[in-house]
Amino acid sequence: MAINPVGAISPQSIEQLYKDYKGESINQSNRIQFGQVLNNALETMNTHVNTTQETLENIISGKSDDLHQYIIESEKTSANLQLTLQVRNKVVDAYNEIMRMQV
Amino acid sequence: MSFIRALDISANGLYAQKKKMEVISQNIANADTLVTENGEPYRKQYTLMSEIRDRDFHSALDNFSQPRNGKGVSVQVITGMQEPFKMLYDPDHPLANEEGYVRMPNVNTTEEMIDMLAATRAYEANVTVMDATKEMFKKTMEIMK
Amino acid sequence: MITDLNARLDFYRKGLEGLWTRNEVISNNIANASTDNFQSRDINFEKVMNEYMSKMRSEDFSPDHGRFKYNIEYKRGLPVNANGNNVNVDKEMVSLAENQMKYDLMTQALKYQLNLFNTVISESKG
Repeated sequence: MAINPVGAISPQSIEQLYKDYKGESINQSNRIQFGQVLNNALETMNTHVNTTQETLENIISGKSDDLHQYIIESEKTSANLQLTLQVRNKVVDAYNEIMRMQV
Repeated sequence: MSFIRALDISANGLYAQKKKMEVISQNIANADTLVTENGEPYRKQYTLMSEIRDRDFHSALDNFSQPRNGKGVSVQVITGMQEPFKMLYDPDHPLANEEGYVRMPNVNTTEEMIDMLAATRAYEANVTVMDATKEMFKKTMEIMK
Repeated sequence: MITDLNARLDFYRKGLEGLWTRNEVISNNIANASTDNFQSRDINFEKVMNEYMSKMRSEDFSPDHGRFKYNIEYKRGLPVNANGNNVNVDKEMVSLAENQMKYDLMTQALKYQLNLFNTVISESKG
């Protein structure tokens, strides 16, 4: 593995680094967009909230009487919310850092 | 549905049962009263209970399409003026009539005792309902905490 | 998420209202436990709620924030005693407790939902 001289960071050198590290080139499938990370977290969050709501609806309308399920799910949703918030914070931080970089 | 009036239903339920207890006590106390002011033996008193429903016009119409909830119970104390007295055969009694019978109050003490138990239970049930309503109201207020 | 919250709050409002109305009906049943010819009642809360929930899932749903119209139904199958009254006080007590617990659940769930929302708003990073 050749060690490249330290110079200006260019997209080509980042690609080369990735190739060396992972053994494959950057292509469409393993390219993760910035927005994607946040999006994924939000979608998981949304699913959780919907499931929790549905469980509650079933209890209130008499279809189910599994109270424990609701309680556990709402706790999971809370934890998930905290996680999503942290992810958002980190993504925003990372974005800011990159914007600050001298190119 | 109204918050302020929510307890009214239980309140008049309590009142009705209380009245019933009064009537029962009155009946038991006078089970042997042979002469009252009008010269006759004591006549047993009853409570007449009826549900309170809305009296205004459009709720009367509503009743045909969909029964509405009542607003509790109203109670009236009545005396059965047509009821026959109990007859006791005792020719030596000062109040005996020509055939030797004395007119006694038409109060059956055992029946009254049973009614009293029922009234007590009903009263307690109304108290429980009142507690439940108050509790629900408290929980509603807690949403804003 | 904002529009979802709107619909969600409507669900809570309707649920709480229904359970409160049921409490009123049970109160009336018990107050009339000795009234001649009185028939015990209930509201069709579960049925109305289920219908509304299916509507909520449809594409063009918008919450109306209005009140449900419940049907007051007479309870079936209760034995009638000598004066025509069919109120079973013990059964009513059980319904009362159950209703109370459901109401409690709904208020807690609503608090929780609002809490989630508030957390998202207040956890802002500059």
